[in-house]
Amino acid sequence: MMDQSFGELRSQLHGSLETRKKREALLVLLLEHYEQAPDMFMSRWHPYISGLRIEWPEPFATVTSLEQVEHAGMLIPGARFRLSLGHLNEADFKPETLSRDERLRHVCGLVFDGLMLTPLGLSTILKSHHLGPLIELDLGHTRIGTLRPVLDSPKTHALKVLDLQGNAGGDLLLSEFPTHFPALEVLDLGSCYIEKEYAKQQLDGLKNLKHLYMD
Amino acid sequence: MLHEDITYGAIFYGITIGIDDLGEELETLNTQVGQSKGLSLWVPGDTVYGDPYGDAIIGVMVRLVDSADGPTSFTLADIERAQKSFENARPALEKLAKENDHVAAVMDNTPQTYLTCCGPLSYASLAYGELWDSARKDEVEYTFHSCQDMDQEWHPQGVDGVTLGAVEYDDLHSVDLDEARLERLGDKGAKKQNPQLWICVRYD
Repeated sequence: MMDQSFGELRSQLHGSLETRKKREALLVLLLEHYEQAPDMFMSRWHPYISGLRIEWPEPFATVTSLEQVEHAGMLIPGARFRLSLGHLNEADFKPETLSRDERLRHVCGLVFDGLMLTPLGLSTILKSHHLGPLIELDLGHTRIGTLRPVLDSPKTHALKVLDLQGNAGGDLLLSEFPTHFPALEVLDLGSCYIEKEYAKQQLDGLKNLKHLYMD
Repeated sequence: MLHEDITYGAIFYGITIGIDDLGEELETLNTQVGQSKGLSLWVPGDTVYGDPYGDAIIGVMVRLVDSADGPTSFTLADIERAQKSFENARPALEKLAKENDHVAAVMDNTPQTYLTCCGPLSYASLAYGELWDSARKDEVEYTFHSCQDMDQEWHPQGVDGVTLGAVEYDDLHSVDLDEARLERLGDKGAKKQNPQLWICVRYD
């Protein structure tokens, strides 16, 4: 049975992990195997996975807590994840505490949709010594007000996905996007109520932009 | 949908047409669209106790929800079917444009999917999430979307999820949905295992 699972692991690792479905299937396999046989996982699977030195697609998968990201980071050494925190109560969301958490090293995507986030709070998180370059940032419905902290952070230059849904009336500084986000592929300005032609004009220099949502 | 005395929310696909200056011609337009195979006219807002104004839509219904219905789901496939139906109805739309100058003037408008509502005190929200008991609204993980009937009673269930849009009265909210965006919505509401798109209507 264990050999069969190991065979499945090898097959998945040597196949394409480009689709989200395949990555999730791999993560489920690893979670299940670790739960069933943690010793065997650490003695056989973990060294095998580490030894392959795979360049994992980023973010590898979505997690909803720092505990989960730590566990997933242990299961897939070297992989980085998307941390979705929109489910937190306002009282449980503390940017200062988050910024000091070394488990942020496993994170390359942050989803704050629905949380009230101040520019200072966001700046604090982005300045965390544990946080590396971000690939995805979701500030939907955060009433962030200004994107200045994002534009001033060197960790956002490699952003491919920026979600600003539901931030009507904010100072989004669109004209600075082409310079600061040269790799941006997806920009979501849904429910921001920005005039389409104006936005397109400001974003003209985003050469890698594939999807612009402006509904 | 004109002169509706029931509160509805809807996802509707079509082209917008300004109705501010139509006056009684709106009734003619309503009749003409009604006679055009495969097409309907959607006039948002309260057109029983108030005057129609703003933009209406000529197109195809994706999903119609009565305020008594509770949360009602739909899929991307439903939108795709409506898009196809709209394209199939193009000949009827072109015929209509020949009969009605107001329609002829908007033939170049790009058809889009809209979240909209009509009837008295209408409100509709579009959420991506899961059904949630109204009695537990204070325990939601994301945002609670309630449904309220015309007796101002809450439906026993609402939706806990992330918000894509909301409309009231005569608002039209264009909705741009595709698989990639649904995936991102799933990331926003990552605690939900089987999220769906829901329309929640309130007589508010």
